[in-house]
Amino acid sequence: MNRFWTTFHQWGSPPTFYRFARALQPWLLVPAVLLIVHGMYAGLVLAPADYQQGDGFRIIYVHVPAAWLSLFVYTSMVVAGAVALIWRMKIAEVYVVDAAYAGAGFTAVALLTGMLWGKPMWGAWWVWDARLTSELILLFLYLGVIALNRALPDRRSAARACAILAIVGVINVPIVHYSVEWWNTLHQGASITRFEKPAMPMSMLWPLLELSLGSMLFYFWSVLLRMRGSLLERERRQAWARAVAADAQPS
Amino acid sequence: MMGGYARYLWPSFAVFVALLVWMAASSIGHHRRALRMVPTEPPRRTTP
Repeated sequence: MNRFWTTFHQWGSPPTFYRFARALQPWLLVPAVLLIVHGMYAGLVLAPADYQQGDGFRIIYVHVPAAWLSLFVYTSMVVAGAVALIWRMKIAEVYVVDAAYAGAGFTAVALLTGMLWGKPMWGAWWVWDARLTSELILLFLYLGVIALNRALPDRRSAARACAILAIVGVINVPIVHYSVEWWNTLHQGASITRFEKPAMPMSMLWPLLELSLGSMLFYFWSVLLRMRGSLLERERRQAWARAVAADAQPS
Repeated sequence: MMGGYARYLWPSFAVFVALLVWMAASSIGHHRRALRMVPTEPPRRTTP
């Protein structure tokens, strides 16, 4: 057990994390780009058109990954927020704040692409449906975390305040996820669940899985790079940060 | 190919690609700004 905690705190050390993230990033970016490019080609060209919605159904190839990631990123922020509050780990504090930018982006794209799908299919850009409204609240939570972080001058206090806000807002995550089951919504129910056979044929499903996995890898690449920047900013007076900056200078 | 609702399809993909480009650009920019903020000269020794 002691060994676990030693490793846990060792990985939480900014220089160790910085080196690990720098080494890991190419292994995330290359498969992410390949999966996204191929997934888009497959979604736009190879997958058959839907017999009712025609080509309009292809919007799900960008809408669903964005919506899944909007929930995934928020849940990961809550876990990191708890770690930041309990163990005062700098990496976790940095993650809570840095993940919020990409999370807000995924949520905004999920809402926008949902509107672009809603107009031709429902005849309206927006309805105050439980799924749409709870996803909009999720966007406001992300924006709240970003604004709170910018409003407080002390980095550590700001990160802890953001962690508390993220944890309080976690109540919205199951509401977004189960809204289509709890209420009679215009938004359709889940097409892909963990325990049942998907409601889509494989020829339509695999570009969606490719784009979802690719987007997740791309998210991790992007958030790791942002976290490296935030750690350098916080630790700029430390010897390891000076060594990193000196190495990065053109000779 | 792409009949029917194609006019709603392309903006959706464009928005998604724009998000990925923005994520990459903002993370790269953030890291570069942070690198510039780190002083590269060794810390000054102060005598008591």
